[in-house]
Amino acid sequence: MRRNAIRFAAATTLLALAAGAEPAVPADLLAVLTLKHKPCGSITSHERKGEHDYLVTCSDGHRYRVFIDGDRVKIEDK
Amino acid sequence: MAMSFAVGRARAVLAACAAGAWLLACSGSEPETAPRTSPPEVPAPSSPEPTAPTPPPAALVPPSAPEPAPPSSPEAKSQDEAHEAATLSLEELGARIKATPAIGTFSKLALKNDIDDLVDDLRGYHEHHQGDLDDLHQRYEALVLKLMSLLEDDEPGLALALARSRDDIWSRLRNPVEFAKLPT
Repeated sequence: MRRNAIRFAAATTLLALAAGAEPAVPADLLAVLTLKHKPCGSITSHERKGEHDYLVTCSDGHRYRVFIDGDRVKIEDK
Repeated sequence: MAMSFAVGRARAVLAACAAGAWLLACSGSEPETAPRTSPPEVPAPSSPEPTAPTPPPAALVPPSAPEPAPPSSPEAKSQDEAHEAATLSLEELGARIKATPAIGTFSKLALKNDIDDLVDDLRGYHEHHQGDLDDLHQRYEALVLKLMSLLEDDEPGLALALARSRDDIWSRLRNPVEFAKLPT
């Protein structure tokens, strides 16, 4: 019983660390859109289409597909 | 006879007291003028030399000198760190940016794409005299600003290192000899 509690605590801590290690996906997607000078405002929703493939809906109404093709990040207007 | 001896002795004692009082008065006034200089030495004649009184205060300073030293040691440490950060090479910066968790996968790859494009165009400028160096410099500065804005919240040290190294890196990039040494 006590061992399970310790395992649970350790797993929770690791998950928290992993979550805090990298920025969240919406933040990363918004950063890419900003880097590529794409108007967006903020991201209202994002839908995962593949491993590195997201459909992003922005607060200003723009929609983009952000994905990795080969070794390049590509952004398509939707 | 005994009476005159007693009077003489009393005078001698009085004279000794007067001399002691004068000496005490002298030594009492001395600390104001020359605080730590040795009283038996003649301080008044030595006072014309302005350099003579200054060394003693300097000699007295050491007890207070160590006091500023300990507080300055963390400052010195931070200065060392800042200096170390300032001397980051292009390769070190690249490795640290690659390893930082502050930038997400998409952003890192997008930045890498932009950097690769800039390096390709710089290569075209150095090897075939294509393009304009001022335009390339502007693109470089824009890239640095983008990177700094991504790093400043979670990696302020790295952002600072980048800010301090930006001119050195650009001078390497614009120099054809230094540019040729860059790993491809």
